[in-house]
Amino acid sequence: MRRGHIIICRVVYLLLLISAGSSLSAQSLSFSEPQIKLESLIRIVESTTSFSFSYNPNILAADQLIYLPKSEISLDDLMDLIDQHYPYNTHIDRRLSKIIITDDDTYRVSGAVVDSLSGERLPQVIIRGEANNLVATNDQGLFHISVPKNSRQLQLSYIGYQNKTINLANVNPSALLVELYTDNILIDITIKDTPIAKSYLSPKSQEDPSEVRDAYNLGGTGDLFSYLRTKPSVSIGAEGQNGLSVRGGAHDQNMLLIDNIPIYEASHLGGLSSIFLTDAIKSINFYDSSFPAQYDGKLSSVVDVKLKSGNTKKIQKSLSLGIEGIQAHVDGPLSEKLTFNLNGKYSLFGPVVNRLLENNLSLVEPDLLYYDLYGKMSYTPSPSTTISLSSYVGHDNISLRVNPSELNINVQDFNNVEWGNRVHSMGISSALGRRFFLNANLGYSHYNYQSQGSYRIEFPAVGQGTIVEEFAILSKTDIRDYVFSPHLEYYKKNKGKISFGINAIWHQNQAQIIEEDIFYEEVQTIPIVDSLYSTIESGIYIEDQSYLSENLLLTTGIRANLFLNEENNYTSINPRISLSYFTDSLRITLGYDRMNQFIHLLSNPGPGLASDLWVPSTSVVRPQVSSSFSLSMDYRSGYHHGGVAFYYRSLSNLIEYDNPFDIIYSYVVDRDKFNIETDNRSWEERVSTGSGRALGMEVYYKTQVGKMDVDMSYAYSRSFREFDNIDDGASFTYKFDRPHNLHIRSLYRLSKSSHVAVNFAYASGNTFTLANQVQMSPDGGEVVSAKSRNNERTPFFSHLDLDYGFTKSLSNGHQISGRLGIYNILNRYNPYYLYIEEDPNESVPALKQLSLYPRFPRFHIKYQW
Amino acid sequence: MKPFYVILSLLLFVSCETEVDYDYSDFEREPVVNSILSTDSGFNVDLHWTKSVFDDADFQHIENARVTMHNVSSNIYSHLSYNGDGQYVADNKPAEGQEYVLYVDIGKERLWATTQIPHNLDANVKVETDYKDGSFSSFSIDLEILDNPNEENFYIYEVVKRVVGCHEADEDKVGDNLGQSDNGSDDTENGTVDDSGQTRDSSVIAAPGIEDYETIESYTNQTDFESKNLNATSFVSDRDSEFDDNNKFTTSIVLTKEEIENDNDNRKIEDIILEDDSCEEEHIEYALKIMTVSAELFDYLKSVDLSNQQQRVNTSNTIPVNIESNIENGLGIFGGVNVQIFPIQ
Repeated sequence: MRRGHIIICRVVYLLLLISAGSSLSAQSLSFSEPQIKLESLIRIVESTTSFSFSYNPNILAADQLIYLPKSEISLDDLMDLIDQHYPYNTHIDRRLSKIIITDDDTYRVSGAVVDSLSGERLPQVIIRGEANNLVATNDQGLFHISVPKNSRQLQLSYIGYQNKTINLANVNPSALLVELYTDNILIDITIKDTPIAKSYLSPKSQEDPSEVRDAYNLGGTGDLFSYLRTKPSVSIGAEGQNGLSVRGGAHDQNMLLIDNIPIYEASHLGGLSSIFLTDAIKSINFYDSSFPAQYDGKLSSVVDVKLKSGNTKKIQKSLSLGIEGIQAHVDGPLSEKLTFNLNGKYSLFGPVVNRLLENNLSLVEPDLLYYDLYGKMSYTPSPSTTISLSSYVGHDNISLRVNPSELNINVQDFNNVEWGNRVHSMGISSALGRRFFLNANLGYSHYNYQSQGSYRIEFPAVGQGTIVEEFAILSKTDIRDYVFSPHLEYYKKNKGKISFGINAIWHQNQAQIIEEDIFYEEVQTIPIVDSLYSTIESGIYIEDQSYLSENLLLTTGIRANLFLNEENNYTSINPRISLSYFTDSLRITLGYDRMNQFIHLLSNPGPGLASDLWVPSTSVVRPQVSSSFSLSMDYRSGYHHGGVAFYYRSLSNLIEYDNPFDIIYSYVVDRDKFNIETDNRSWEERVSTGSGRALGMEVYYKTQVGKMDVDMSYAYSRSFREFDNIDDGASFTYKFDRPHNLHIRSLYRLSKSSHVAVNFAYASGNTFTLANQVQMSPDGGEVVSAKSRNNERTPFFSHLDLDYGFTKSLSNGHQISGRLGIYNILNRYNPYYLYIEEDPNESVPALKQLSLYPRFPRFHIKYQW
Repeated sequence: MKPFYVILSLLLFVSCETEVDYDYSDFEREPVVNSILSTDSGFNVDLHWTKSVFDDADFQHIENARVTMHNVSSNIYSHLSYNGDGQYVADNKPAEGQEYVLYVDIGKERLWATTQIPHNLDANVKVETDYKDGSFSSFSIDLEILDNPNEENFYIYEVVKRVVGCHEADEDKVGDNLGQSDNGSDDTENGTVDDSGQTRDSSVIAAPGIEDYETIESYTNQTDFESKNLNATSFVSDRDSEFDDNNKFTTSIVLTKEEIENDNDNRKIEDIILEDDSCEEEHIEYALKIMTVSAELFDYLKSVDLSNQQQRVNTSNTIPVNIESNIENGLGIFGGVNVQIFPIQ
């Protein structure tokens, strides 16, 4: 009993001793100055606490200043600060009340990089230490970099901004704020008077938002998709074509992200413009190969767009007017730590395009409309933490009625297509401790698409009198995604980093086609029926970036995916490997990626309205898979920048509609001729699976000669598919096969406030299936058919555009800028679609094409204040 | 605003519909084999080459082929003789239920296909004639097909007609194309010569036969046909679950007097009377023609019909209907049909 009592007493005494030590180290220390010499700090700690220091006086630099983050700080935090951000190691021995300080070879500099004008944090800024190690700021502009003990400088570079060198003497290494200055950007005109090669160290994926503003869409507005189509890996597109085709891939194979939340359709009205507003964009990362492990779910590319948080210094406003419509923007600070950014666009393009459609496509009162709205609020409670809320809402609507005089039967019709995205995202970005960065997002995405084709036809049928057929085909896709994606980065002591995290998306997907015996004269709300797919798409990944030598960077990643639906599940392991050799002027990268796609777009290949459906992988339809190899070489020297890339991609589990004719058409014919009632088979019964491959070579070159910038790119790109039930399994060219893509752009600066730009684009025509052969039927009639799938190619697509841009500062401090130009100045008739026209006066039919956009004026005026 | 668009259009816009130069000189032709075996006629195989849709030349017949028909059941080979215009014939008649293999050798290339002649159809046809105010108003045909559940069957039915009696060999009169469809016929002084080369004397009553009937649609003006959007032929198969639980398919067809008159080249029924007192009264007879066809023929005819319908809306944004074919190394169709005629009294 006595022995137990003694033991208990000793334990209690030990606990009291520890708690006393803890309470002592947690004791708050007060300092009157934000910076203090280390020797003075030691004396203050020793005099105000019971701790004493033990160290070799020779290791302490006489003029070593310690920058304190706040006036009151605990001893633990103080020692941790010295340990992390100064060339010393500290150890607190609570038992002996001693603090031991030893020498350290390296220390860490942490901070943020911002735009000098707006205060906007800049992501992917390259920071280079004297040990030749490189780091990049994260999405919130924060960075950590380890530097040698006697380091004196850091070099920073960022695309579109001037290089900067920071002297590390007398700077706060724990909260370094660096302001970068742009390259003489005046409103929307980019004037480069420094060699373009300066941005060599920027990540290959990073795009310059200022160059996006200079890439005009049809209406003369800077547009992200128009910019991406100038890149050699992205198809130039075609007349009236929306979406992006990257290295021969389909439009649905691109991962489009707004603040880490996926969206499904990013084009307006047949490619007139994209949903992205340049004033709302902070950064763009585009990947066509060497995909980081954090991305998966699509096979061809990743377009990762981050929205601006808002100017931290002042309220900015702008109003724009152009052929496309009206745009407005306002952003600025609400308080010292709170900013906002609002952007919107409303189309006025309809009145112009409506007339084109009326004249060229014989449509009655077409109605075209679209709009985009962006909003973001950012709260920065501390320099190392940012919390943001962002939203996007967009909508497109097309209503069409065919002129009955174009048809030989008594027919009424009403067709309507509309789609829209709604995205909400909450994000938190924070520097956690010594080497960790956290970037986590929680979000919601809602994509809704519906098309309605309603017809009323009267015709006499022998044996049945006059028949009146009324029917409607309603197709609907409704996808609601709930997204959770935490992402952590760990910066190694000297070079490299490790990234890991989770992506999880809960998809609520409806894909359905309804056929009814009714003629609708107005837009219908398509009812919810029992075709809801609830699936979970998730992945866990880890990626390591290591320097094998001074010039050799190896990035290896692995991602484990799990896709769950109500019937079964799919798992996959996707490796990512990239090896880069680089010098000051050269970078060679060899890469391999394996990707999955769990949500597919089924495009209706028949006539009538598009009835695209987004459908999930099921027990019948497996996830798509791609394996890609790529080799690229990028060279920069002075005013010259060029490169070449080769790629090969194999694909499997691709899906296509079985029947080559329209659902509308099959309804009409099947119902009446084959006595089949309304065909509401599941979409799974209508598709077949196959495989494909894509390969190509890309070349690009940029230079600056005096006042002229020249930018050109060329790609040879092929894409093929094989399906057992198409052409007996023989390989055929895919519809996005475009052997030749050429883009040349030249900008000449007339002055610092005006320029002239010439833009030339050329691309091989799209493939299509032409019923080009005739045979006799047993009864002596003629039967027309196609020899094979995609057996013909439309004439090439090309346009030459001329634009004039200017900017003017007004006496009141406001600014006005504008662009005037002509699209397709040579008035080339690019094919929108081709058709065979029978002429009763001719013995053979003629192949004709319809073009949408002839020579066309465009303008855009912007007022900023 | 409107004048602005007009002026802008005049200044900048020109016609956006243009013709595309299409070079079909590199068109690669393919052999086409068409042969429909019927129990009431000999073997007949048509061989020709495909041509480009932009080529206005006539179809080229294949004249030097070796054509052989093999009856798998009896293991009898029949060699067909060339009869001109790409036609290869033999007098042998196919038999119900037999399987046949067709071999066509063109140079070193061999084409072949297989088909089976369907069994006789089990059907009930009931006709009711309606009169109004003492004159003919319409008649309705109730069709009931009794399907054999143990095999996959395909049926095509249509209303056909023939003109019986004598008439002047006048190209303007109904009946000049007696028994024929598009190929027309030659008129002679003494009668009518059909495409088989047979001369029909005006005093001879046309022997009732399948070839004497023609579908109503053939009298329809082609433009009108286009505008009607449908013809009278209907396709039925038990593959597509059109038969009820008792394996029966039923339907009704009504033909009104107006439809008959409109179809009959504007001649009223009462006006179709003797042209010559020495001839039997000319009249028109209607019948329901039901063809039991082989599966490949059914799919072929269905795809041809769909293709014809789709031609009006075929653009480069659509994919044309694939024409079914069971000819290995070639195009066309080798099928079997069992035809039954049910006269409508």
